[in-house]
Amino acid sequence: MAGAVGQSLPHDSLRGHVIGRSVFLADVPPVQGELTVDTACSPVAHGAITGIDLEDARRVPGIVGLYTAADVPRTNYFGPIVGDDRLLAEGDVLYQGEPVVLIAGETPEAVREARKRIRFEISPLTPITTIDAAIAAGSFLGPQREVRRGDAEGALRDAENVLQGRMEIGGQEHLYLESQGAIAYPGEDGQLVIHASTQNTTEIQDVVAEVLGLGQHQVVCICKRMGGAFGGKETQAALPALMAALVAHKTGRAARCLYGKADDMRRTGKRHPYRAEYEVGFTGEGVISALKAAFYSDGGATTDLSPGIMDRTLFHVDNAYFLPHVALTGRICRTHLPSNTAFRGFGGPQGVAVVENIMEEIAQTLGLDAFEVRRRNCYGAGARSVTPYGQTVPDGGALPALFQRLAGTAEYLSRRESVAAFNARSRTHVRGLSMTLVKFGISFTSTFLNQANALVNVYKDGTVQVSTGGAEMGQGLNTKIKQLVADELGVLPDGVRVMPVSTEKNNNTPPTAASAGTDLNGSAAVLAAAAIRRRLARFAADLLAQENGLPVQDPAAQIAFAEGCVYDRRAPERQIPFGELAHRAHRERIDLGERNFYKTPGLGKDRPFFYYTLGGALAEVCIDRLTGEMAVERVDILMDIGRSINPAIDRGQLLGGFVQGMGWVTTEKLKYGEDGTLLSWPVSGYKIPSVLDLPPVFNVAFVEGAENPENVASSKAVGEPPLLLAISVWTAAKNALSFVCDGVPRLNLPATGEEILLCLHRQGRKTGGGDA
Amino acid sequence: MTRDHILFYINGQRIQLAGPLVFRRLSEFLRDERRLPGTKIVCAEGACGSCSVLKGEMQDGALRYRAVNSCLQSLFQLDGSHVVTVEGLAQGGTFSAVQDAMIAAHGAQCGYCTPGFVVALTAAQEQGVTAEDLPESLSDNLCRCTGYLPILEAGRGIKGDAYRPLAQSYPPGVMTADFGAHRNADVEIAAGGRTVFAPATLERAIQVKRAHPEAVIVSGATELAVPPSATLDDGRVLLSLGRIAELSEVRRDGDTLILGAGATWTQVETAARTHCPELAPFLRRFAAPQLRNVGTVAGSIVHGSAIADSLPPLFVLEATLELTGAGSRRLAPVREFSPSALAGGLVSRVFVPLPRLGQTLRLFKVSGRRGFDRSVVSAAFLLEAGGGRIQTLRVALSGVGPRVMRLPRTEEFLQGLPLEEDALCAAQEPLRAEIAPVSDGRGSAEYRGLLAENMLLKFFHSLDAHSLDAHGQSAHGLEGSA
Repeated sequence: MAGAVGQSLPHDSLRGHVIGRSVFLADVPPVQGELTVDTACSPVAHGAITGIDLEDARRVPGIVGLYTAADVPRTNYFGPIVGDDRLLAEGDVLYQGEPVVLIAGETPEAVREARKRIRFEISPLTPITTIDAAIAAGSFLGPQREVRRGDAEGALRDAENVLQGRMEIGGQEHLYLESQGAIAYPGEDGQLVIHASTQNTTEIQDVVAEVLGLGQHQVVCICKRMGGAFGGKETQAALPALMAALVAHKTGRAARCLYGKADDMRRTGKRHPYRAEYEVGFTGEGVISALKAAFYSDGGATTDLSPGIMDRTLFHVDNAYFLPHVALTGRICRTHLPSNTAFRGFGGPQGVAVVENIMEEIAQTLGLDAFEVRRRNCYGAGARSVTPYGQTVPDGGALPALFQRLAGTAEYLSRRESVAAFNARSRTHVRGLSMTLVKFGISFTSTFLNQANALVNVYKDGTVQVSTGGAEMGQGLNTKIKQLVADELGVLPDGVRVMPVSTEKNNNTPPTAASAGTDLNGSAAVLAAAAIRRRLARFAADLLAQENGLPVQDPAAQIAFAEGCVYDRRAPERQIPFGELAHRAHRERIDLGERNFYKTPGLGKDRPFFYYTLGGALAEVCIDRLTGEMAVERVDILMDIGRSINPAIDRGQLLGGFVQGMGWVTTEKLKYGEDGTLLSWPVSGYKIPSVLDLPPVFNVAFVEGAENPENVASSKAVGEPPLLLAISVWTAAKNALSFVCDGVPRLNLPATGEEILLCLHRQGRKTGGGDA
Repeated sequence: MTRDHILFYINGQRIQLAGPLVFRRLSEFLRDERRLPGTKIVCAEGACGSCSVLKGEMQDGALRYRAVNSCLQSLFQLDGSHVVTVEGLAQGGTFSAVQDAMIAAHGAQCGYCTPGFVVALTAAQEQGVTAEDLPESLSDNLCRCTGYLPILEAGRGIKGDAYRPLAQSYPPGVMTADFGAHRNADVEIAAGGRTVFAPATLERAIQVKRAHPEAVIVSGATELAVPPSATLDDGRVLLSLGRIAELSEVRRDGDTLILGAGATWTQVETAARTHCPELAPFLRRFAAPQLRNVGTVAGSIVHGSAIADSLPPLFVLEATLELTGAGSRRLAPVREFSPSALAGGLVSRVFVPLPRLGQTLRLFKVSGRRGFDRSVVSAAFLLEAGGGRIQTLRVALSGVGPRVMRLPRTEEFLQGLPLEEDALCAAQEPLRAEIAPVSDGRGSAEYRGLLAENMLLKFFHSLDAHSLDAHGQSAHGLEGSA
């Protein structure tokens, strides 16, 4: 029987999306007396607050409240790891756009007017706005983080070849289309209900309670859906929620705080910019013996999730490659910029970009094909299957096999030749071809987060509601959970609805993040559905035994749930509709609801990850040597995502993740002034890919017959890994430049037109035919 | 004959409106006043397409629908038009063919950009966009989730006969009759201390201009409506030119293309396909469809941005402006336009001499993103050559100084030189001396300087077919159309 799992069902909101009827936070009609909330923000990146003059603003008609740090009830400080985030600036300001005064008014116009009339006295202090300046000033967040194995120093001394380099890696604006926001509704006895666009309802519940001095039981946080998040709403959705909550708490009126996109871009954190300084030892065949690398991330003003992000960087420097001796260090620079935060990949992309860059550089140094260098360094069997942090990459053959297969289907070798021939011929353009791999570790590296609970309610007509802590942001989590639960209960997927996330139904949940939304919440939902199924099986076994005149033996094995009906396998012609069974079970006082709990098994010190999602991408680019413009001409992707719960949704994650990553490595350049002013702003000033950036040939495939039996439905997580595959576009650019540059091209990430043209200007041979 | 209200339709419903609401943006009006929240506001600056709606306007007796950004449309600009929002596309519980195709192709993830894409795909159907042009027709709409491919697949998956034109869902008869009966009246609405004039004739517009010299002149408003510039929202008197039929003509007269001041870039691009094929692909890259559908010829010239893509071609073609005042008409080169020229009247037409036989026009644009982006540098060249020598080469560049510029000294340097790569290389030095690029968010001065120099070589290679591999040519160059 074909179940729902494995089918390409449409996203459960797709119908609503295409007719404009899906409700997002900004679409919720205001309730009577609802207030608009916004903030007056710091105009400078760093300074001491010497005065705040609110008098003029107070006189604006319609202004209901103006609040500063002094008005925050219990504590102004919160944060996921360290607690150094704050609701309102206090004493000093730490970044441009930091909220200083909270404004609540009857109308948006009143709030806007008050914002204009608030006067700050801030005596400016010199801001630290670059990694360089932070290193020079010794300005860091937290201790140095390290991963070491063997004797990297010694191995470098003994190495046949040593290559040193430095790479600047840019950050990335999330540009979720729905900006941050929350609406807070006051209740009885100090209770609050907050509707937020958040990946992390539990954290909002926690910090609102903490900041306002309430018990967590007095705060409910609900998220119906997000208009995109990509990590940006993991921790940083808390600030607008706190603002709305504080106003609702103070005034007893509903309060709405929705950022405009331009404000969102200036005030919120982004993917961390990184610097990497590396030294790599390798044989004449290009096999790496040692890697020593120092990573510096720009954490921004506060800690946020930066330590976890740096950990993931260090855990992903190896990527698909066995590195015998490693010495990796990571430091988080404290700067006066909005605190950088989670973004799809969570530090992994920066680590992988460095090692894939190293692969290109080794190849270019030795005059080898980079594909061959990668193949020689790939994880394998036995001793060559152990990561620097001690986890074994199971099935060491999977990566080399994937590698070879993609090279075959994408015709790497013949295209390699055409690229070289083209480059020898063309005077104006140069092409590059590069394959990169991904081995992305699935699990939160903070082990305690790898848990979830789910509530499954079967109603008397046999329809089902499922609630988990997993929030829908477009990734299709709800659809996959619907499919899993439908199959567990043998009902049609239309009979299952996945409900909005609410801390009232699911407590102490992790953020919907780390690609693990389906793994964790889907597993918990299946456990809960299975418990109901067992109860119903016992009931049905008795019922059907009587009717069929057969003895009850093993209800679990004997009773089948399929296609909305329940029957005894020994007498399948007598079927009870699932709805009828539920109704009758209810009459017999059988519990039709279940809350269950899942924690990822087997995690520990040498096993931070439950498993790895694997993939490879081959990208071909064409660069205009006169303008630096680059076109991605063809991309071939192959991924191992286990057995797909919903192939169409997983394909969507793959395509979308890749294109988002392509933006990061090509056109998406964050720019700041020396004073910490964001220059790449607003949407018209920051270039995410458009439809015209799609490669004209874009082949994506999944490894067929792949399994991942430890995980729910033998599936694998797919949210983040495809983003990292887009690093192939950047390495293809580097490969292209190597045909026309003297020496190894010094190219930073992103490879914008400007970056490429300046690289050609510094190192390029005159146009006139590559001789490489 | 004067009206004190505007008249338009939303999803077939007649709306007659006066009072301060006429100054509001359509996107806010739809969401806040009409409870039509399907139209999403994201950037509010015409840079993402999320708030796209279909705007139907009278053309040859019928309503022609095009996608526009509702965040850049003030309600007073909608007089005489029919707005169809995403909610208006599914009727009586039946989804449109576009909506069905989006579902079949899994064309949405988070859903926030989706209504805008459904609108853009519908506009493509209305205009009969070919499969080849489909990506370009969607290039105004940004999506952060899907990677676009499923949306393109949706667009390609719509069977021609499955699509039901809007004229069937919304029979135009009543609306066109209503618009026809009201089109000759001048609109004047005073509310909340502000006044908007939307005259029906150029003559009346000039009278208003003389009576209210301070009036903010609104054409397509693709620049005026972009925050944080508050001109449009703070102006006490607005003069909107969008209703003046005579300003929107586009026609060819001999070797001249005559563009009405209010002609949209979509109109110009359509005409260019026939009359100046080098210009058409450049105009498609100049701006994305939703902006081309409302941005006007005169708006671009008068705004006079240092990176205006319209100006380099008009500079090398030595286009002329017609300025119409009360009872007067005078001509002036586009190059010499300054806002003070508008003191006595309005730009009424632009005369563009088309490249003659023996003249070669080449246009280039470099931007941070290939589609839908402002220029870093754009360039126009008009060559007359003979006997292997450059007779004249006109050169204009944007993005390398405070204004778009012709480069007379570079042109002089090149005159009479052999038409060879070395000559253009040699011209890089005088060119560099003539420009003054600065650094900003889109690019550094060094980058702009290099681009400007290399534009000479781009130009040269666009001429020499042997120097370009067929593939190389298609990579970025707009020269491909030559």
